[in-house]
Formats: sequence, C-alpha cells, structure tokens
Amino acid sequence: MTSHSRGRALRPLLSLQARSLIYGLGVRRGRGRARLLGAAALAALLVAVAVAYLWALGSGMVAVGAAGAIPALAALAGSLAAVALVFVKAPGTVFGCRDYDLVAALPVPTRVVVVARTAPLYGFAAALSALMSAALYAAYFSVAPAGPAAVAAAAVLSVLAPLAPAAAATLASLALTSVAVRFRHAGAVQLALSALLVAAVLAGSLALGRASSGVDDAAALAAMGNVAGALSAAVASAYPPAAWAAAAVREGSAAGLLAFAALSLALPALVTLALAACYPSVNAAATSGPRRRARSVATSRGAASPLRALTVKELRRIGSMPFYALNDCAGLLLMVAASVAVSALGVDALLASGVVDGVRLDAQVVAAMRSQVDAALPWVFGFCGAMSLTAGPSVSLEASASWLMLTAPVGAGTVLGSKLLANVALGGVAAAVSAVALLAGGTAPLLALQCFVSAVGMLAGFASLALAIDASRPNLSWTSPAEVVKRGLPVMVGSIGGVLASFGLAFLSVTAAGALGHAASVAVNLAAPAACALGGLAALRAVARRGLPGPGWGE
Amino acid sequence: MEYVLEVRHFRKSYRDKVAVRDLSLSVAPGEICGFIGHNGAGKTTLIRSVVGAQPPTSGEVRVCGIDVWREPVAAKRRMAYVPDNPDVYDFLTGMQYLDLIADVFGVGEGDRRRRAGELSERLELADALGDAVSGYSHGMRQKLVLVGALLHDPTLLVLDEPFVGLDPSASHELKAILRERAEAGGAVFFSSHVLEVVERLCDTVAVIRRGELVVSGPTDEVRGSESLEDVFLELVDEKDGGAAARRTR
Repeated sequence: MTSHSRGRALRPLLSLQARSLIYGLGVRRGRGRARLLGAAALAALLVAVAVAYLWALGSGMVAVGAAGAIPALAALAGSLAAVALVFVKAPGTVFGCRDYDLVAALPVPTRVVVVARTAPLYGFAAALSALMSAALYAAYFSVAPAGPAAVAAAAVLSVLAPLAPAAAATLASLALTSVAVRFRHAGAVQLALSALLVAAVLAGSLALGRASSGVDDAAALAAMGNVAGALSAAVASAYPPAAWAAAAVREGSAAGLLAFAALSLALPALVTLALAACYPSVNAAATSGPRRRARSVATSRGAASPLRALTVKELRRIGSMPFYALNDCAGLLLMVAASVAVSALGVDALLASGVVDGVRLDAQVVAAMRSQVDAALPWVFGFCGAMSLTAGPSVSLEASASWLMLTAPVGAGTVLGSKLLANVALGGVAAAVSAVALLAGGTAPLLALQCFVSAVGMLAGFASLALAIDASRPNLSWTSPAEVVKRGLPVMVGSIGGVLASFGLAFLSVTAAGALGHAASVAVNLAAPAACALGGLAALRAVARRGLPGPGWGE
Repeated sequence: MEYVLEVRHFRKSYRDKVAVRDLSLSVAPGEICGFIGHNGAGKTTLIRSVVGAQPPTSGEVRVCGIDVWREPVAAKRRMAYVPDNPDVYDFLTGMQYLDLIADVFGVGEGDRRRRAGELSERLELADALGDAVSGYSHGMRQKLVLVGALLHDPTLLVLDEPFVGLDPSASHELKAILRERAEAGGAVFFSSHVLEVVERLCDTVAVIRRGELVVSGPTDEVRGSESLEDVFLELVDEKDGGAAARRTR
C-alpha cells in the first residue's frame, strides 16, 4: 500500500474519531448544538483559568529569582498533562475498544488503525502542552532575553514536550489495564488508592500551611525560591529530557534541542509500531475478563426484599466503576477529611493557618468570629454532601440494561428509592463518621448534630432532585460513562444547585447568627437541610408516580 | 376462555411515524405463538409494550386478564421477558444477577436454588455462574437471561429473537423448555426470523407487516399446503394487504 493510499485510509478513520467525540458530547442529528457550544465555552473557561494560574506561577517564580527553572518546569507540566490524559483516554480509545472487530476487519494496515487512535490523543496532548507552556514562557521571557532562537526553541519544545511521555504512558496504561481487567477487585483498589492520594494532597497542603504560618512575607518568598531551585534540580534529575529542554531555551543548546526532538518523535513512532505489530493480542489483553472463580449455585445467598436487593445492586455498581465512585463520592471523602482536620487541628487553627481560604487570619480575629464560624461550619458538610450525588446519573447508567427495571414487577418508586437509598447510605456513613470525628475532637454535640443534618439533608435533597431529573429524561444511549457521570444535566443541576444552595444557606445562617443570635442560626442549620430533603423527595415522588421512562416513552 | 395474552386495538406511534396500527391478537394457555415479520415491521415495538417497557399510544394489553398498563406490577409478576439484546449488569456475576432477579420477583431461597441449578445445568451455564457477566459471550448472556426469566415460573414467557446467539445444544434445550412451559398450562409468545423453528415449534403464528397484522391463527391453517416461508414471503411481498386472508382471532 502506498503512502498516498495509507493517507486516504487514515482520513476516514480520523473522521470517525472526531464524529465519536462529537456524538459523545451529546450532539445527535443536528440537535445538541447548544450543548456543544456550552462544552466549548466550559473548555475555554478551564483553559483560561489554567493559563492564568500558570502565568501567576511563572510570575511568582520570576519574582523569587527562580526564572531559570521555568523551561524545565514547562516541559514537565506539559508532560504531566499528557500522561494524565493518556492514562484516562487510552483504554477504550487505543486499546480495549468496543469497535475493535470492526476496524480490525477493514482493509487497512494495522499501523494506520493505531495511528488513527493515537494521533488525536497525542495531538490533543501537544495542544494542551502548548497552551500551558505559553503562559510559563511568557513569564520567563519577561526577564530572560527573548532572542528569536530561544523563542523558536521554546515554541518547538512546547509542542514536542508531551509526545514521549504520552507514548510511555500509553504502554504503562496498557500494562495497568491488562492487570486490572484480570483482577476482580481492581476498581475497589483504584478507589482506595485515589482516596489515599486525596488524603495525601490534603495532608501535604495542611503541613505546608502550618510550616509557613507565622513567617513574614519576605521569608516566605525566600522559602519559595529555595523550593523552586530544589524543584528545578529534582525535575532535571528525575526527567533528564527536561534538562535538555532547559538547556535549549536558556543556553541555545542545539544538541539539547535535537536530543529532545529526537526522543519526542522516535518514542511515539516506536510505540505505534510496537502496538501495530501485536494489536490483536494487545486488545485481547486489555479486554479479557477476571480469572474464573468456582462458585456453585449452592452458594446463592438468602432471599432479600426487592428494595434491599436493588440497593445492593446500586452499591455494587458504584464499587465496580471507580470513575463513577471518584466523581460522585469525592465530596464524601472531603467531608471525612474535613472532619478529621477540624478534629485534629481545631477550626480556629485551620482558619488561622490560611490553608482553608488562602487568607491567613489572626488568631484573635478568628476567636472574635466564633459565632459566625459555628453558624457556617455545618455548611461545609452540607456542601460536601450536596456534591456527592451517586443517584444523579443512576437511571442513565442502566443504559442498555434498562429493560430489566422496566419489566421488573416493582413500582418506579422502589427502583428510584433503591438508587436514592444507596446514595444516602454512603452519605450517611460518611456523615456519621464525620460527626463521630468532630465529637472526638471536642466539637459541641449540638454543632456536630448540625453538621450531620446539613450533610445528610443536602445530600438527600439534591440527590433526589438530580435523580428526578434523570428519571424524567434519562440518557440511555451514552457511549462513555463520562457523558452522564460528569456532563449529564442531572448531575450538573444537582451538584451546582446544591453547592450554590449551601453557600446561600451558610450566608443566611451567619446573618441570622449576627442579627438574631445563636439559636436562630441553629434553627436555620437544622430546618433548611430538612426542608431541602423534603423538597427533593417531593420532586422525586412526583416523577415516580409517572413511572420509569425508557426508550420510546412519551414519544 | 381467559387468554394468557390479549392485545386489543394496539397502536404505537413515535411522533408522526406509526409503528403499529390497530393490532389485536391473543395467546391461549398451552399455546406457543410465533410472531414473525420483516425488519422494522413492529415486532419489538409490540413486544416491549406487552412486557411493560413502553406504553402504547392507544389500545389495551392484558396478561392473565390483568391490564399491563393499569396494574403493571401484578401483570409483570405473571410474565417474563427475554429481549433480543440480552444486556444485563456487567458488574455482577451470573449468580449475583440471578439472586437479584429472584429477589425482585420474590422467589424463595429454596426455589431459586433448585430452579437456577436445574436450568443452568440444562443450558450448560452452571460452571460460569461465578464469573462476572462482563466476561460472558452473547450466547452466555442469552442463557443467563433465560435462566433468570424462568426462575419465578412465569405464566407468560415473552421472547424477542431467542435463538440468536445460542449454540445448537442450547437452542435444542430452549425449544424443549418452551414446549414444557406450554404443556404445563403457560403460554409462550416469541418473535423470530427463523421460520423453520416457528413452523415446527409454534401452535399459532402471527405475521406483521409495516405495523399491521396481516394474518394470525393456527400454524397449520396459516401455512396450508405450503411452507411457512413461502406463505410469509407471499404475505410480505403483497402490495395490497387486503388480499391476504385475515384470520385474526
């Protein structure tokens, strides 16, 4: 096959990938353009925030005299973004694809198929890296000489930086996926590891805040300069290509530029060739199921009520989908982490450290705000509860298995109730653990009760609301769970509404504490979450009365 | 006589498109009824409304005398459904799926164990029940859904293309199971494109074309002296549906 005909074969395959992406964003037969525009606007906003943050980081490094570390950091930042992207997207895009049989049967060389799958990923990684690096280099060139050679080298390196790490991440992701699909409880392990990572990040942030508390600004800047210097050295030693990139930009090293470019182009090419050479076995490795486990019918468990059986089924779904659990239980992890932090350090110390809101308050100021702090604290837990809505996308997640619930001899109330119950059970456990942690740390029982009620009430209310929306108009034809777990309307409305309501009610509670006294804020903190829960349940009940929708319903 | 399945003046439309118009048919106890028609004729549309998965635009569907859309829970207790695409929860093992179905249909511990054991042995699925459904082939999922459908001993069994994906021995066993259900006083209503199977297995047959029932009745009467395939091809090729002998009950 000539290179011309290979190119002709690549074009429709790339077009297929683009169409799959657009379909995944919810665009169906001309409908959903508003959603596409919304997604584009959200992406633009996120990029703007990331660019602004990196510009601030670069400017900060320049201010503390660590501008020299920026080129290496830019290479590393682009690489890390690419690694994260590839880890998330390669399974299902490059290997373990649903349409493997279809594309494998096409009269197209396997290499072209693999390139059609890797090129969009690597291209997106390159674009992401270029955006991130641009902000850092803008800060760098504000103090360093911006000669044409240096700027050109920076531009080339920004685009090339993620390619080699992305290629390596493809192989690492394949290895991990191949192991994970054989391990029955891989999802639970991934969830536990992610929870540990979140806890480590929080602990690190707290430790950093405590270490720098009580130090004046000049000393803090000097400490940051030392950290940046150490970071630069660490980056160069841990990832030598970053040092080559730094040399190419800072010193105009042609050797450094060539070495970096050669590595960045050769490694993806080698990985593509390697994947193409054994594509059938790669896909088989990434899609085979867990090892067989002998389990006879005699081990069938005892009978349970339909509600209990369906609730257990929902909990199993959450446990088996780390992506779903991580997105919709993150608030519960934060809730427990917050309660442990309050218990171990005390609210006053946390606020005084500046870790929570970035504003370091004087201990006396915190003490003077005691009643406002007590009025607002339960809404930290309400906020965490309101963003933990596993029930939100749960009707849509039934997808092609929705016929089971539609034909089951149970009312829609039981089916929807089981989804809510699973959510409330998880939230209730997290809220109970948090309340116990608060009590153990010396928090007053009434305040701990308010925290518990706020968490469970907001969770129940907004989970019911999100579930009611999902049950009214489920998206049963999604192609990726992210469509309903992250971008679905029910989750967006439920969690954003819950978060906004938490802020609003916290403001109301603080205002009530100031104007009417402590008892008024306690009343708000107990009554508002209960009202929220009742409102959500009423909405869910109204939807349950109409029955479960399925394909063809109401048309 | 009280029919196990009775469909009266059923109509289903999707916005402007009428999928099924004014269709009436019935299945008596002890009968196996084959429902045939070309792709897109409206078979799955009717079947999904019979099992309570999709409401009709108008008309009535009764199972054992119970209106499926007025008393859905009571009607669903008396029937079981095997869809054309047996997608079930990937995150469960086969046994966990059967436990879930047994709990939802209120099957006791002893009955579920006995029936699940017998049926999974007959369909050669017993060794795979401990495995995750995600690792099942299409045929294995089909067998699992079949075992689940029979766990609560339904009076009416509704199947959409049940022989697709089954190996020859499972297909043979399924035919025997369907016949046993009918002989025990239940009824079976299934769609199929495999006309030889319909001809040999079914007591009655119903043919749908472009959303309209063109003929229904005992298989021998519908077929006459010809094969069912010949009759079917004649019926679906006819431009004028009025020429077909309408033997709707």
